[in-house]
Amino acid sequence: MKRMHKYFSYLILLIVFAGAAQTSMAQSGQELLEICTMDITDLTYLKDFQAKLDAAQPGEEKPVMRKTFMLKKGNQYRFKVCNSKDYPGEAILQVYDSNRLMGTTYNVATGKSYDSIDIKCTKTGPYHIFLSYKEGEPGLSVAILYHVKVL
Amino acid sequence: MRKILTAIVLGLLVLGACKSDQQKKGLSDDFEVPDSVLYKGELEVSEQAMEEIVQNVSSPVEMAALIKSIGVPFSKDYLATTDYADNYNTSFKKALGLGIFGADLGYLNMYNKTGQVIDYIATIKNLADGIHVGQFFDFTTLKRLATNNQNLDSLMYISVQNFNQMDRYLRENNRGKLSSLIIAGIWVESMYLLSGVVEERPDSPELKEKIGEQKIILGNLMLLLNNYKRDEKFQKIIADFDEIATLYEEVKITYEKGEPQAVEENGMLVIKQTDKQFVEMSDELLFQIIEKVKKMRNDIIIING
Repeated sequence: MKRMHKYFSYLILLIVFAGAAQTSMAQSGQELLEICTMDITDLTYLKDFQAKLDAAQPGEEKPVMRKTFMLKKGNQYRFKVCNSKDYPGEAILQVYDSNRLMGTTYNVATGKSYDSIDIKCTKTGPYHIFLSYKEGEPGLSVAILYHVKVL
Repeated sequence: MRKILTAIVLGLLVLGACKSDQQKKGLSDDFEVPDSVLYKGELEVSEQAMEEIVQNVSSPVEMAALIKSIGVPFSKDYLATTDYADNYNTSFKKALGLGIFGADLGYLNMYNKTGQVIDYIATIKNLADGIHVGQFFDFTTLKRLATNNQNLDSLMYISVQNFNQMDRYLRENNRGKLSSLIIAGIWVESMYLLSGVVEERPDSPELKEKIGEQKIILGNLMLLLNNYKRDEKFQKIIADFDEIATLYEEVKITYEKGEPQAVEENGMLVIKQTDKQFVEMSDELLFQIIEKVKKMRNDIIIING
């Protein structure tokens, strides 16, 4: 009887742990996307990507994710970034036209951060997006490309 | 008793493992994919480059937005009929059809034509099921939104996101050739919609330029399709695209560089590009491209019909 009691205790513990694991699971990229797109009005979602990057190793460059998107002349686009609450990293998004930096969500000089960046596009072509985390901290974020309007 | 408890514990563990695996994949595994659509051949372009090219090919949204913004009224005459979709009986045809109707759905959504959307989402769902990606197309929610004529932003968002998910899944599962066909279908139909509008408004410089600048996008699309040129089924479609690309060789695109300006508007960072883009093409060439695109699109519909 005592042994049976022990087994039941294990079983209950297992069920409790299994339940806790389900409910306290880290925020997934998909959940982050859903949260990030909840307040869209007058914007048209086009694409998204998730950037999960490890912490920078001592003496090494901080990890960066690179993606390319085709933007078309005569349109205004918005890149919006949402950070996961489960990671310390705060995303920095930079937009490049070939090797020329057009804009960034983090201005090092002023220390000001933005959660989005709009591009009024006058040239159709591929634009490169670089996403990294401040101070090389580990991070998870979702970057979303929206169409804002025809110019 | 011990055996029963061990069985319960094992059962729970197996159940948990199955559930999390399914959540990860976001789909059920109750289907088999025929070998014919799994591409195990050698790709000329790496998977990463493929993804980049895909991102750079096609979205019908901007084109539909442009057509609407210049005051062109909605016309269902531009759309492909769904009447023959039941005859799309191979994965090749279904994928191309998905692209065609996907572009039409973008156009319908842009004009908030929710009544007609239902017919298209039902067709898209059937075609998506036919190539085993129907689990990514949230027909129930889309139908509810369209029927109630509510939350049209969500209707557009879910439609576009569902197509992105289908595309991602296909590429991640060695079925990139179907993804390429969907993208080709989207491009052809978007061009068909634009061509129809240009024919009615031949004097619009914006529309003419949009046709011309497709030279850049077509280049990416050709890279994608040429990956599968050894597949017999692709040869006809690649030959058609080659003919269009040959016409585009005469389109001249030039640029004038300018410095981007960063300004803050309503607390938001806005980058104003000051580069200039010039597209040169004769009217004769414009209409040659339009005719070729229309023929190709109608051939796809007839092949499918």
